[in-house]
Amino acid sequence: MKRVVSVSLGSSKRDHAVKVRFLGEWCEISRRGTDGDFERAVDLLRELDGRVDAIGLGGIDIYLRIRDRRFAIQDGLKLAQVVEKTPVVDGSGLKDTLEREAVYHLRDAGLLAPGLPVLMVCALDRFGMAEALVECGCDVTFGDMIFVAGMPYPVQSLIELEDLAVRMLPHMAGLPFHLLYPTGEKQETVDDKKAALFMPYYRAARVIAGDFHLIRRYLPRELSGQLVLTNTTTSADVDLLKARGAGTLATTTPELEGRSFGTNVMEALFLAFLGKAWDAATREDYLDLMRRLEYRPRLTYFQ
Amino acid sequence: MATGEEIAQSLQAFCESYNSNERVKQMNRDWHRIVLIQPEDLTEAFTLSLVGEELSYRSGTADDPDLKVVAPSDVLADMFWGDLSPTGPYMDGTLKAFGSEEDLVRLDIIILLIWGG
Repeated sequence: MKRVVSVSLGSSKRDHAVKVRFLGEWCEISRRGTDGDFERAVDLLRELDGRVDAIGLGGIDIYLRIRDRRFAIQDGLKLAQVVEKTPVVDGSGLKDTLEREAVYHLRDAGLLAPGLPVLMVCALDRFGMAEALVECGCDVTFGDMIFVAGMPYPVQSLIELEDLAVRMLPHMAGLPFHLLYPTGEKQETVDDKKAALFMPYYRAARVIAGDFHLIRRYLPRELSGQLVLTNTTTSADVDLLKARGAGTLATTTPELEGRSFGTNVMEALFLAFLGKAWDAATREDYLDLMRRLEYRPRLTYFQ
Repeated sequence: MATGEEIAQSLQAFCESYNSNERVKQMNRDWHRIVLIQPEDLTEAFTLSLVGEELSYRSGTADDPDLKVVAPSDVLADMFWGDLSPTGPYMDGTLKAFGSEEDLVRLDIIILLIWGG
């Protein structure tokens, strides 16, 4: 039986361990949160190295991929380098494939259309989704400067987003990750003050896309039937979105026997099955596995 | 080690670049801050003031700065000339910042937007 563990800088409240059948084989998947504690994550990774088939890193990226460039997040890289024997992934490789496919599915289902206003809270961590949304003709506002840097500047084109990325990422990626992204307890709470400031961006959009921790951190008290396109959610997250007035939830991560898992978990599982090193796995490898899984984004209608 | 005059020149260049960069000014329109620049190897200090849309500097300290940045004089001069990203010195402890983390990240971004890339 293959064993895959996701080590996350996120809350330990989300921890779980399950056995699922993946392409006909039983696999054990577990998630271990470290509540934002970097050193705990290091210790856990050392403990798991060589004892499991693949490790996913959650709550942090190792790389941000912008077209053909790859920017290393130093904290993520430090964690990955702790592990010497077991393949470690952050989900970024699969995300680039999976999330593009998810967008195409939503377009084909009539949920995305040219001109539809989309707020993407952060695109630099999922450039594939950003490119696919633009390719579908959606009117996308990229919220990276707003939601990550706290600056009231909506970016309206991929070209400008790339320009900002090239200027900033080589340096910003060296900052402690908690300065750039909610980790630990911040993943469990809404920042009401900023939520009020950012509310107009949510209200102007019919689709809110991107990382759910960022979406939730600044979620306004009232939505107006928007489609939320995100990676992975808990039942509490689903309840929150329903209570706040979201119209539809589309989650991109594949379901295995009714459960959804983070992209890092799925990429770790894919690698365990492919028996390849992370750098050797290709987009075609991932697409092939997704076809065999009959991948579709999961849709939940609230209204 | 840089002289006080060299730091003043770097701050002058930084302010001029900021004030002529409409995109950065637009991005930063909600941020009004007083930043104290304290070279740790010089007795003089400098104050950056962002009031309205204009960034200016002057010699001397500020009574109640929002952010205080302390570093060797050459690091500060290099940083405001755009020869050095603040991230490296911050991470290795050469540059110390006292204030909110958000203000520190914002100053970092402003410097990168003006000089980066």
